[in-house]
Amino acid sequence: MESGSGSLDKVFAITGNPNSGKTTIFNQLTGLHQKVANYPGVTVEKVAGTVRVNGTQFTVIDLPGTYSIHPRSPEEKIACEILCGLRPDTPRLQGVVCVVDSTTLERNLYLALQIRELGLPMLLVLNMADEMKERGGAIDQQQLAAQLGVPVVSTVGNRGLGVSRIRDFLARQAALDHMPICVGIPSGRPDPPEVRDRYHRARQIVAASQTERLRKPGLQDTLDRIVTHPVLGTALFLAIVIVVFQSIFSWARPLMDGIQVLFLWLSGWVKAHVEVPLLRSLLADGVLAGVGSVLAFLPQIFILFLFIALLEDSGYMARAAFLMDRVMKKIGLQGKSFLPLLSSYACAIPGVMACRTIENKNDRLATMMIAPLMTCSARLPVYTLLIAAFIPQTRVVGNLISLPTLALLGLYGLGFGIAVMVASLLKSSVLKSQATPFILELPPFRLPSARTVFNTIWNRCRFFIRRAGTVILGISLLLWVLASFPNTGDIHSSAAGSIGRVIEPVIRPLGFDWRIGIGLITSFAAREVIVSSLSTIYHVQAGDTGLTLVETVRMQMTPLTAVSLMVFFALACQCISTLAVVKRETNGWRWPLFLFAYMSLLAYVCSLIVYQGGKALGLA
Amino acid sequence: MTIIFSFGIIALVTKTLDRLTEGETGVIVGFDLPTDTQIRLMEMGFLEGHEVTLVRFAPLRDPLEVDVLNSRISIRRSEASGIRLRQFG
Repeated sequence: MESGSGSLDKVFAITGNPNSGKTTIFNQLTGLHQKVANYPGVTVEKVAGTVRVNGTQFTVIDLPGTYSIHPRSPEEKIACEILCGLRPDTPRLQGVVCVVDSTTLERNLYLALQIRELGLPMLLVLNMADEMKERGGAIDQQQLAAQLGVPVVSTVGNRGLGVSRIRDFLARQAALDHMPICVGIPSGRPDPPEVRDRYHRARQIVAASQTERLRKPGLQDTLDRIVTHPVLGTALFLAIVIVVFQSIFSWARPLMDGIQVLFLWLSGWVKAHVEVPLLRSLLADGVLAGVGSVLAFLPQIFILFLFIALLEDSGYMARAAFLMDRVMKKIGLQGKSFLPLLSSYACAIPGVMACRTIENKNDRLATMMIAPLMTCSARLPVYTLLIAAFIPQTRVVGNLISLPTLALLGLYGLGFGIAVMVASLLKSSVLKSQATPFILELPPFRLPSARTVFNTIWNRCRFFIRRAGTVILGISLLLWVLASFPNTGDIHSSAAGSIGRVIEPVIRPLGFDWRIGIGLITSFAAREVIVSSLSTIYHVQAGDTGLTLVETVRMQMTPLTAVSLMVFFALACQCISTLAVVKRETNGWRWPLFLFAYMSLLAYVCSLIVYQGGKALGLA
Repeated sequence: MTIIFSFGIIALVTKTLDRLTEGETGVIVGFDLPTDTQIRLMEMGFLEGHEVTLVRFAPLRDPLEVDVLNSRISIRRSEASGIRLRQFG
């Protein structure tokens, strides 16, 4: 162990308003020495890092950005409990670093005053000092320190200026022997006079210490006007949406294909060099296929979070939410639900992960629950196969559009329409949000710091591989076992085959036989796997007939079965990775199980209606 | 909209925040909102005596962008209609 690492039990916290640059300061202090986890029992993320000062190390916790520490929302509750030393999983604090945005000092001082009342050693960090100077503002630091009774430093977080003085503060406090005690614990129900008193004090402090008032930011206003303009703003929004969508939908493709090619090559190598058949199959079809399917998500997650970090840190995301709020409110959601839902059209995994930008817990859950209904790219191979087999290439609507295109659009529409209904239903019942209105700060436009953007992506990718990746790999291996044992070299007599036949009576009313049943089971690894499964099954059954898969499918299924199967795929949660990510993001089994149950039921009922209705109409 | 004449010299007009036109400013005099919402707003700087400016409406006139204490906050019309203002008119 390194010398001085014993001081890791000296814990500090960084706190501040959202958009105060708190996380940038935290990143400057800790670099890549960060750990991301969830606080047990809640969906709030715990970010902690290690700071080194002169060979000594301390732990610093990046508390969720809040405007207050009255414990009402889960974020405020966590912040309050850590600050007051009430969490058994976190040691008592040695001190607090409170980051404030110098350009909105009065508002930021409200939180600073609340924290000062706790009585812990505290450092006030006047961040964005450069921005304040540019706008002609000036703050008398000595006066401010005297008024508040805590030391004050000024910083420019994204350039790392002044950060060394935060380190000095940490080192000084850590050297003290005694453990500071928190003297006042905020209640969950502040009363209006309390808020008024604190703001009154904040105004006095600003009056005494702010020597020059800030000018209104001219450029900011112009930018804001363009970005929120009914025509220009909407056009810009659509353009950004198209770029984001296009990038996760198609620009990530070469990378994903590259990963796939690499793993195909690896499994080919394994197949050529491993003698024992079972081991060969385990390595090639189990382990490598599983690892490959986990890594295949990385390009999309990387690209989406690159955009999210840029859009969030530049201040644009709040404007997009401002523009979209009215439309999303119609289905009971809010402006911030838009991007996660859009991303889910490429893949629900990054979409579900993007839901964490929605602060309101019920809105976040509702968005997460409908995200997998968006037509993800894994459904496309299934749709393409079945449409090619059964939908004739006729042009309809005055020769404008071909029937296969119309069918595909219909499937996209089906997923979206059902999602809207589910969202309204959830938001008017179990996920009704009462006391938390949509209040969102529209922060000034700022150049994102490369370090913060990089850290966001790095933490997301690591979190995905470590927490969700293990589950996905495990399930892939389980599915391999099911498809390979008992080992006769024939999927028909494997456990998956048996399960396919066992569930046949259940899926028979949907028009599916046991072979499609096997496909449904194996497609839990990834939806498109059903295509290769069907090709294996039909190939095995029919021997080498020299027919393409499309022709085989046309012979093996009726058109009605194919439509029923497409409806099933549009609505069912045939994706273990999505469930794994929902479990990680909601920190429990309740929501992934609910997601699986409701989507399966929905898919079953709709397919049943389609198949039985079709049969009654004589369409079989 | 209520019109109060005080001493017959200054006309004080009270209206709610959602009734301002873009660019107009008023001073908060009170709330007609659930206590929790009111306190959330107060903690964000919406306090009696503070000036607020309606910067703009979103394209479908909901939500609103409001300037308070030098920061821009977006709130929905439903909340804005519960914030009473005084204006010198």
